[in-house]
Amino acid sequence: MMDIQSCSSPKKRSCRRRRPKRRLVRKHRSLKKRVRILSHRQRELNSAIHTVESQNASLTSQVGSLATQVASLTSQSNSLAGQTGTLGSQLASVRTEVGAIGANLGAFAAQTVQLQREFVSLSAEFSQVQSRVESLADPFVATRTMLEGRVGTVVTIETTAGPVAGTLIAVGIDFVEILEPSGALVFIPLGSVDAFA
Amino acid sequence: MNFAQALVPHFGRRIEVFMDNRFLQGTLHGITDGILSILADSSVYSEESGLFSIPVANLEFVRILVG
Repeated sequence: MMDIQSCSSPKKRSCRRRRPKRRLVRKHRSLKKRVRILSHRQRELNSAIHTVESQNASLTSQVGSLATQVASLTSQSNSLAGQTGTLGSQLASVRTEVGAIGANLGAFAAQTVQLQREFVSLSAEFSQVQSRVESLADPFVATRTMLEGRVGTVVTIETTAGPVAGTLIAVGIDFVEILEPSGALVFIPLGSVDAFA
Repeated sequence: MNFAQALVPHFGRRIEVFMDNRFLQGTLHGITDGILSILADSSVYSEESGLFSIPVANLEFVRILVG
């Protein structure tokens, strides 16, 4: 209104007509521009709202899952607490048994020493019995072993039927073989050997 | 090898068998199950002849003669 009243040119009438129109046009343009900006802003806000809603749904789901996991963990924790109690009880029992064993350890050690002594004694007896059994199983082992060391040498074997002299050429399981100077072979059972030289 | 196995290669050979107080001369006929068999012939030292079976446990020694 001020602009309209202050227009002092001769063309006041046109001035009066144009200026308000121009202002309105500018205002209209400005408003359109603002509307566009606001529309754009609205779209952005709508998008952001959509994103926030999506995140909210995801978070809600995660919160549900976490709640389930918390419930499970709580249950497991309760179970572990129960097991811990049981193990504690068992531990106390084991400690008691360990204490009892520790008290008997000295007696066990003494018995072990005694058993070791008896084992040594029995081992010696076993060796003697084993030697005796071997002797019974093979009564000629000593004679045969000695004569085996004389193979190839001249020996004289004493028997009840008389002596046999010659080169000892073989010693068998239960006999010796002698080659006499005449070329004759003599087979003598080891059980008939009274002595040899 | 034992006593009986050692004599197997000499079957048919002339042998002398000595026991505690007896002596036989003849041909080695065989040896099985601890029994030696000799086909004895009479000699200056032994007049007995024929097939004799002698437990090996009773032998003092056996001589395989040359030839």
